[in-house]
Amino acid sequence: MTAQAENDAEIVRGLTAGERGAFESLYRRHNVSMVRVASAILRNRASAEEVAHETWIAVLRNIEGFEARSSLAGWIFTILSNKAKTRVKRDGRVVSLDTAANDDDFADAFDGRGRWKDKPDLWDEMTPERVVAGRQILDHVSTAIEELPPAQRAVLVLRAQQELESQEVCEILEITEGNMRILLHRARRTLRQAINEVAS
Amino acid sequence: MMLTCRELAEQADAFLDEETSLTQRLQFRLHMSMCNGCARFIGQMRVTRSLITAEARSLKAGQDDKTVDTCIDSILAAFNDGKQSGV
Repeated sequence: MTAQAENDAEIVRGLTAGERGAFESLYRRHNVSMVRVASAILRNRASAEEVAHETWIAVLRNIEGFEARSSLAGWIFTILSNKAKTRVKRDGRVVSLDTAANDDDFADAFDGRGRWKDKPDLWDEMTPERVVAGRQILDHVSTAIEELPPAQRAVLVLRAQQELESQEVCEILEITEGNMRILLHRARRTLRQAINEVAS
Repeated sequence: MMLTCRELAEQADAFLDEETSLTQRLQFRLHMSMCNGCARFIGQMRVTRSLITAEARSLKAGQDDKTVDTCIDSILAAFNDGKQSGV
């Protein structure tokens, strides 16, 4: 059993036994990201918070049925995503996250021979210590994440922040693996550009 | 064949995720040894990835205890109401 599977099993045992501490630990680990992912699907923060709330109740009601075929986080985010999509349909809207085909302007950074037009700056102030300690930088990153296109934001949160497996992310968001990679790469490049504004 | 800067930048995620072949990694390293623009770009992408992870940790650590308690109380109350009413 992997460390993550053992950890999941421990939390499931705690939830099944009705331990508040186990639930609080799970809630603190995932709720912020759940609201972000639901916001990306629903395009509305208040609705996203309601859906996250409903998801937690569903998790508690169904925890005994969790069969560990995916990670616990993957299972929770699947419930969240299904609830958010149901709400979108109920509201008579159509929201698809399968939108990687849009071109971005990264190609403009290169000349006709594929060389940088302007070489990237040296981020000599961005030592790992400063990066982690820098409240202002992290706030700047938060703002940039909130401004990402919804599909990029959802993929970034699930894959890069929640560290779900690629396959889980694709299933949760109903996108192809190729599409997921493009969305993730574009999200990281957009954030690099945002950080460049304060780092150079 | 030598990679262009654009090709390297477009494959940066695969390189940093160590999903590239040995030959591709050698091409990356050879290119970066001669191109400080691409070496800087890869450095920037490493920092960006660290910041993305750090941002998530910071948001989670910064959750207000009182707000979390209130939300958990509300979820547990709804869960227990459902159990009692057989929903």
